Amino acid sequence: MELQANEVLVNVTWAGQNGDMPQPVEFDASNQDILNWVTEAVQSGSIPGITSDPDADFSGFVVEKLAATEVRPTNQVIVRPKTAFGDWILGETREEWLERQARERRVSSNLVQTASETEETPEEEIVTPKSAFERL
Amino acid sequence: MKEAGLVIDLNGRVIYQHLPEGRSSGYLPDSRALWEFIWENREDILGVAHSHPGYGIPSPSVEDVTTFRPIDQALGKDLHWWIATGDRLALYRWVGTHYASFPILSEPTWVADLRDVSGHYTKMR
Repeated sequence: MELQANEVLVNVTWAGQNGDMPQPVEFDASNQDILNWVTEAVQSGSIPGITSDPDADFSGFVVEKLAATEVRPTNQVIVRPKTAFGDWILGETREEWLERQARERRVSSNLVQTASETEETPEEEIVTPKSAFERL
Repeated sequence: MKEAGLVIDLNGRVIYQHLPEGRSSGYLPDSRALWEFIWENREDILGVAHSHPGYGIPSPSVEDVTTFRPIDQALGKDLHWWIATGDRLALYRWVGTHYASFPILSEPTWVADLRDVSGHYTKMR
């Protein structure tokens, strides 16, 4: 496929499979637009190498745009899961963190529930990612 | 103390130490290197452990659970997600609708390494 200037293929990973979206996108397209297009493409099964998944949901995935370098001669766009952990945002003061924790605890009372107690695991946490994504 | 991560293989061995630039006592930043390692070794990985500051029973943050899920979805399999504090370890797994904690009868040996690279010290019980 002949790509126009500023066009790029989007590489996607889903359900243990990896492939490129057949239609190129503008390198400077918004991340949200790219996630929307990827979601539609996976749901409809239009990405070679990735089987159709009508329930595909790319919440929590990041769009990574890699500009061409000497080693990598073309621009690349990768859609992959995020890998951040923890909840102390870089640059946040301890006071700001404590304040946010208190605020989130109030909001998330139905997100994390104490279910049972045992010797080894005194609490069973029930965490619903869908709700968590909506709060981010 | 700085949070750290370990990738654990199906034999219970540490196959990757995740000590990214910018990690802090409450945060491990997004890392393409970690994802690439997980993807390249997906057949051999049992799960990922990371540390939390302080002591007591760890529970996943919103940031944690919104990372667990997309990685599980991208891999097409549900990993084990461990979280360690200075004196406790918890295991979370996707059970179809949410992440639930699972009992841990004895701590794997790598937990000491995780606490060590995180800068936790042993609490006297």
